[in-house]
Amino acid sequence: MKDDVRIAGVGMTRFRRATDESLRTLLERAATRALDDAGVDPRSLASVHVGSMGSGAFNRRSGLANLLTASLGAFGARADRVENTSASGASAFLRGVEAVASGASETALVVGAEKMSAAPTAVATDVISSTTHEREYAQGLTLPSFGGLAADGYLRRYDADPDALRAVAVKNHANGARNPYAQFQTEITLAEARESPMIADPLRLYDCSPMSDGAAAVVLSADDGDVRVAASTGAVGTLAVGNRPDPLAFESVATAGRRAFREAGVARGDVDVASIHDAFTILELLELEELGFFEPGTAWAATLDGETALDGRLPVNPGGGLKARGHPLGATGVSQVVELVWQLRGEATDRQVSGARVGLAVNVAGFGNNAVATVLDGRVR
Amino acid sequence: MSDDWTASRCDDCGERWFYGRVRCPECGSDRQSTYRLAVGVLEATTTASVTPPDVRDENALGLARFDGDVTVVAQLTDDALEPGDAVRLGGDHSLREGGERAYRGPRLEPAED
Repeated sequence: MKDDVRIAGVGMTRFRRATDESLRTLLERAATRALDDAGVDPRSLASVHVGSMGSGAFNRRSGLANLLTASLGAFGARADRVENTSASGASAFLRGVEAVASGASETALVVGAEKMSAAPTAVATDVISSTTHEREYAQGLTLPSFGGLAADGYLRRYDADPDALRAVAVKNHANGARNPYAQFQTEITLAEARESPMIADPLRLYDCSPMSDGAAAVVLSADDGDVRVAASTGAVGTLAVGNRPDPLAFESVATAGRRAFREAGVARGDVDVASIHDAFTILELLELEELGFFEPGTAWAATLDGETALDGRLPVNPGGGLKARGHPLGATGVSQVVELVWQLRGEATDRQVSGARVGLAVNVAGFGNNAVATVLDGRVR
Repeated sequence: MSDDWTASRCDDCGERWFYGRVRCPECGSDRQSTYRLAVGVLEATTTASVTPPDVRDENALGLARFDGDVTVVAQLTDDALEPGDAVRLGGDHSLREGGERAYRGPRLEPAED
């Protein structure tokens, strides 16, 4: 980063399949927790950046930034909503970082939220499917079916053990069981994952992230906070999966990751903990390879060997990931940052990664259409 | 839906693509022609068991690669099709029906020699 941007406070709601609380309450609850953590008065905020993918479709709500700022009493702040499908949260975070880095904001609030339970499952599925290319939508493609195709291609190309997919789910559920904010706080066994209902073969129920309600928030500051934003950047790839030269390639993730490492001035080996967009178990493997942590076709074996476990060489998704913490679309990218901040502060209790100083978050839109990568540095004090 | 499900070829550099665009992604030319895809090879398959209400219950899908490195993701006519099989994009099938809008178009089907 050209200029110092610090994280002064974080907060989130527990993610749940369904909550009685309104979208406004979720937004406000996460925001006030982050503001209290930072010791910041909402009236001093220069800007508010709200990430949400589908409030119009799910909740028949627009103008979320105005709804939130009015509730908070953040009058006078610049405020708007950012939409980038399932990476709306990270994109809102990126806008907040840019506002502080540029000097336009001394203090900025970023909030991501989604209340998916307000819509029937069929409607929610269709809203999510609408992020695909029009020709793929016409063929009835859903995000899980793209995941199934990618998993099928990966297992065949590398002769990989399908249990590696289940191992991602088992690991992330084990981490979620230690996270009081996670939607699923129950461990699962490999056998349970193997036998769960088929969703899009070879992906089963436990290979897929759930629909969720929840919100997460971060307060950014030009001069206060014990975690520094070393880099936050994004990149687009192709929209149609069929347009990719290699269907297993996630160019957006590779490009955003490469830029983030360069901007932060850190090497991959410096990363102590990572929040990776595991909307489907196969994505955790593919993204770790695209980011250069593992050679193509090797992340599956490394996962089976425990290299990405809490006590492994590179702990991945210590908060449970999208798989177990939950995936309220617009909140996810912000919740990844919240988890990293807790890790870098040493506040992650039972799921604390020992000696975590540098963290990486990757939030992905659609099925790899657009990615945002963020590097956080906890070595500022 | 008025989509004729053709692929496109750049009249200037010969680049080909399936997912429509106004200009050639390679050379930027706006001179293009459409053509029917010939025979491709399946690279990956899946059957989605949880589908939107206007899509068939068990939606067999495949990703196929055609000449010019054009790749297409589409429904399969036969869920016994496997990676490595030769396929053609053909027929006029109901792809989505019962929703706000109906979609018809081709599926990936076995290619005869």
